[in-house]
Amino acid sequence: MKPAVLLPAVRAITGAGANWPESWQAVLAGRRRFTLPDSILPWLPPSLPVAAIADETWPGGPPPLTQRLSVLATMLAESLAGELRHILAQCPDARVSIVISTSHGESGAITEAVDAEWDGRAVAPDVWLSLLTERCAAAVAVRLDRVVAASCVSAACASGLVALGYARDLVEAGLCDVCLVIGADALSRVAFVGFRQVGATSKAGCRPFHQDRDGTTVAEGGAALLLVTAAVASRLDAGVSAGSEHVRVLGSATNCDARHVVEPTSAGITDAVRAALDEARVRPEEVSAVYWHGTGTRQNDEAEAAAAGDIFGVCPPGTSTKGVFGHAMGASAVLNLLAARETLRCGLLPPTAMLDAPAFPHLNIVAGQPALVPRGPVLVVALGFGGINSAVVLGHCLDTAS
Amino acid sequence: MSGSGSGRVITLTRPIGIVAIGALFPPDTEPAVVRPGAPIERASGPLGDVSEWREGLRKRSQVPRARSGAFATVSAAVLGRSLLGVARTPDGCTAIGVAMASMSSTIGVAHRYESTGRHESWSVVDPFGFSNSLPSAIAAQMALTLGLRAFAVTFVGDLFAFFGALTFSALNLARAGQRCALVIGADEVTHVQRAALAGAGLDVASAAEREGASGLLLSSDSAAQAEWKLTVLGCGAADDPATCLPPDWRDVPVDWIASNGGLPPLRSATPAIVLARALAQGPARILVGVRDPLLGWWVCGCSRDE
Repeated sequence: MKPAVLLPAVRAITGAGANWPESWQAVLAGRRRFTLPDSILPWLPPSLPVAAIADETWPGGPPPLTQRLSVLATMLAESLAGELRHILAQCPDARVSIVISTSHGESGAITEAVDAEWDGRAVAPDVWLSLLTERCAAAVAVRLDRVVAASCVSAACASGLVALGYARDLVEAGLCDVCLVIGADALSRVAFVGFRQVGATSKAGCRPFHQDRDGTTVAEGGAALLLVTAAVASRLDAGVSAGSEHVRVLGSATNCDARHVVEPTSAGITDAVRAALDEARVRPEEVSAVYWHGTGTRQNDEAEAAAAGDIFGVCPPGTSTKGVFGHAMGASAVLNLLAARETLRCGLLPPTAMLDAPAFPHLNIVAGQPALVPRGPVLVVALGFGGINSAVVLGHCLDTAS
Repeated sequence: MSGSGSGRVITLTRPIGIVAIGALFPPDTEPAVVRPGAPIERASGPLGDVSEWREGLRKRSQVPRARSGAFATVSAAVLGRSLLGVARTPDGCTAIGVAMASMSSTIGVAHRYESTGRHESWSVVDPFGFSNSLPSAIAAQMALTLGLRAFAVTFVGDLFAFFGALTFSALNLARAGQRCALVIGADEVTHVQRAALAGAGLDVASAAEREGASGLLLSSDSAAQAEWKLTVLGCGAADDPATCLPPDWRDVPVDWIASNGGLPPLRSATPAIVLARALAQGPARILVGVRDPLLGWWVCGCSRDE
């Protein structure tokens, strides 16, 4: 079985942009838009900046907190519906799966239940139901054709890469021909307070890998991509050109430190990266660029820097997109996959925003301007609470239409 | 691979052994764990108050900071330990994955967290409340408790989620270096789930029966000597899955866990029980599935070594 192919059609909605091109340009420019969340999240402690999706990005205005995630996931899916229809027209026998990656789901429903209790209001039946049944993947599934399976996967902030690994397995095993992967999380009170409570939130906005980094910036956002079999990719190419260069998932690995609830270990990260590189049959020195998890917390960045030293010795150019996107949790790794795909396409690795005093010189983090990186596989790393480590290797593959 | 109908069914090129099946439901304090082929019986009769049962399990579960987390973590960890005890994995191997299915288990944690913050102060909320409110916390805490270092992932949902977790595990075992995987569905019914059931107009009276955990230990290691193997996996959109099955499976009836009436919530712990029953009653091949008019169907097929 040839490795699954990541199609060029991707979508994203972030605090930095209403779509993927805008978001990518923002990352390249190190341009961020952090705001205070008070108008979105009621009854918060004194606020710290977040990366929120702009009000005008939501068609018809921002959705209620109880539906923010489902609306976001549905918007992303519907924006790819045209591409899916095209694929199904070209490949009438194709079957579609959906894998949604989310760190904590539609948690606005809990906020509404708690606030209604406090205010003496009734909670709408639909809100209660959303706490008892998985609505996000189902909401996306019913809007698309020929969906054979819809799953919602949670592996904390590593969810996006775990979802991609699962999607890759579904495609390569033959359980579907096309898999729509959506990573999404909405702002929530529990996440905002939770990150703050463990001292992981930045006061002025996150600065990954900076000497004076003081935490991450909680964010919301979503990103979507289509993974297909080599056969579907070739069929889609057939009418366009005789041969086409595809971005493929060369390797994927996930493990668990089984050590601490919120502290990562460099050994766990190292093992996950090495397993993904082994599967991809890529040597560390062949990696052209790395999208680190790079949350901007003291512990995360330190653990990744230690792992990088063990894995690479001399590190390839690396970056973190969270200085611009903030930490969009279940969406963060999917956003990095989209960015990695751009790096493979155009050779540019975006700078890490606000990085004027790097804490880990050996890590070779790009600062200031985008860097031109050599052609070669790109590594994406994601870490999640509970000691979950995940790594994915994306690479080029020149295929003939056969 | 078969795919002539609306769905896809694959025959695993490397069949995965079902080493053990188990369940833990109140009022039992010890999990019932069997080798496939033996049924698992649930205790019958009224359950009453499960708080003592919970407290006893919590104390001996060894789940770190168990009070901060969902109780489903405790029941799943106690069950997981028993499942692993049935088949000693080769040479102390920790390359064991955990794939959970659970929907609402963490809403009690999130509710407590937000209620404390809103009613008292955000400065006194449980510092582990947020991490434990993530659905993945159940799988990650199990991995931490049992020292398992392969994947740890939670499929959010009920019956469909269990089949997702099963498929995730089987494909991982077939591809990667992991030797074993725990696939567990767990639910809990606290006052928050009860309020949600009542608020959504659903049956509250039988809610307590839905608390508990059940699951499987899968192995890709031939040394595990599992008599029954997970052989076939499939999913589809609509109509009859029989058209998608490999020809030699088409005469095997599907034991449907739920079908055509919408999926009842808090049923994550049901599929493994149904699977155990089917394996106990089945001749050499069985098919178990779940289907929904909107979401389609999943099936898994198991075969016994002749």
